[in-house]
Amino acid sequence: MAAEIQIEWSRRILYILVFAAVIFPLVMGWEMSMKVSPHTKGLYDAIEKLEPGDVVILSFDYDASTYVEQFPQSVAIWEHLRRKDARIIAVAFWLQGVPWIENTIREVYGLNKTEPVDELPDYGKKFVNIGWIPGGEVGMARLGENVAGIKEQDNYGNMLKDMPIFEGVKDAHDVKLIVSFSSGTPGAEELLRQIGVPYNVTMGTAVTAVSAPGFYPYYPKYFVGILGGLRGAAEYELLVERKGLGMAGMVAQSFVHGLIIIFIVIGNIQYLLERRRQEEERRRESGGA
Amino acid sequence: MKRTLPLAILFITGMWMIFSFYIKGEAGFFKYLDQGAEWLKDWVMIMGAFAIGIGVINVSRIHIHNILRKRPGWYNSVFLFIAMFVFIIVGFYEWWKEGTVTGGPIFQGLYNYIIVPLSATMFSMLAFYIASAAYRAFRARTMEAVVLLVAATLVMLGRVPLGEKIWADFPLLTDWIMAVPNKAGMRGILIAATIGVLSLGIRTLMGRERGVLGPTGG
Repeated sequence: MAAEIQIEWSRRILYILVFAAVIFPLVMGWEMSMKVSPHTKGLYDAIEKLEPGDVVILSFDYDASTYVEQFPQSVAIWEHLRRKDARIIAVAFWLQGVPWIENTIREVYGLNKTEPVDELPDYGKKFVNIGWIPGGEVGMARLGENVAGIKEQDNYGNMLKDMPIFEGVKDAHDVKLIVSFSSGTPGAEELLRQIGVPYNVTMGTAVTAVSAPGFYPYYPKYFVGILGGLRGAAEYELLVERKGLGMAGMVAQSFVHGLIIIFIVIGNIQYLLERRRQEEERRRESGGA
Repeated sequence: MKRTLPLAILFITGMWMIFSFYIKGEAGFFKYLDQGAEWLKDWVMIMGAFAIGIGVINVSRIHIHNILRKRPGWYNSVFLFIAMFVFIIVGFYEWWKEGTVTGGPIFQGLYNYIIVPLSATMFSMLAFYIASAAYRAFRARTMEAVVLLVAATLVMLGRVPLGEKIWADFPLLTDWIMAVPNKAGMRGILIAATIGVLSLGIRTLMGRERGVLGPTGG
């Protein structure tokens, strides 16, 4: 009973400390400098090499559960592409990816909720929101075969065939870069299989921290860059010099990681002491016998 | 016949898609092969879109039963209906008024101020569980556990700016762990999984894998 109470209390203390480690840095607005990893730099360099007017597909394949990591990635990359004057074709193979295209555009162009996205002067010329493409991997294959004709209308009911953004764009051979914001299936691997490799299109991906290790075998040959989690977003914000949610969250993440390591150390010291005590008891018992 | 016909359709369409992927033709037989494959893919996309509607019907059927039979937690089903139909009605309203669903202000408000915080809360709770689990379960019991513990600690420190404050080269060490041992292990898993998928594909095309035909296997 006493042991159960002790576990319950230690859990409560842990939760309070984690809560404090997240809240304080965010409230205080603390910042920390960091190095940029070669995986992030790879994607940045690929975008830097783009010429004005080059076509880029951004695939928003995430939902609200991972937005904390992936929304800052989307904003930083879109901002970079906007500065490079690239033509951005935004699609979503996840139904819940569509609101994130909308949110990213509103964040980058500074729109409020009532201002229509498709009335921006650049809309249809420099960027387009095609919206949801059904069919998962099959939808990806069809996008590769027919970029401009994958759907008749964009997310706002405008006819795609009337848009200058699709001038000279037939299939994925006319696309210079694809960036997949991916947090599951269908996502970056499926896009690589259906468009990246068959059409020899340069690809990069921005994924959650937990899934990033699975993408390392593809780097740098198949994915020129990988943004892993909030750290990847923060590094990209640093590169494009645009402070956002990524950099804001890194200090909080630093504190929580540090706290978890302290917990691991304390837990292991307790375990080793307990083991030594049990061994001594066993030795005493066997010596007594 | 009940089993042979679906297997024949499976084999023909499967081979059709494989040929159309590798052989592209501008004229004659190969042109039709290509065009047919495009139609098939369009059908899959249309069926994918309709599957959402079937999903709504299926979910409604299950939860109507829950409510009518007053099964334990039936009130959760009521909330599910309220949430689902509010979104459907708002979606249709926005489409009619604004010409877009996700771009409409009411939909954006509902999504950004209800769905987003709820989903983020569910996901954020992991941080508390991981911290608690790290304290109680991450113990150096065996040599393998020690290797895991050391690697995890180094990666955790190297992935945050705090690690750089402690030692400037922490990120380099983390990158090496991720790019060499992790990459080697993941590559092995990927190659093995791909061979598995390939063999499953061949078995399905040959009619030896009957899972695709439903629970009775045709």
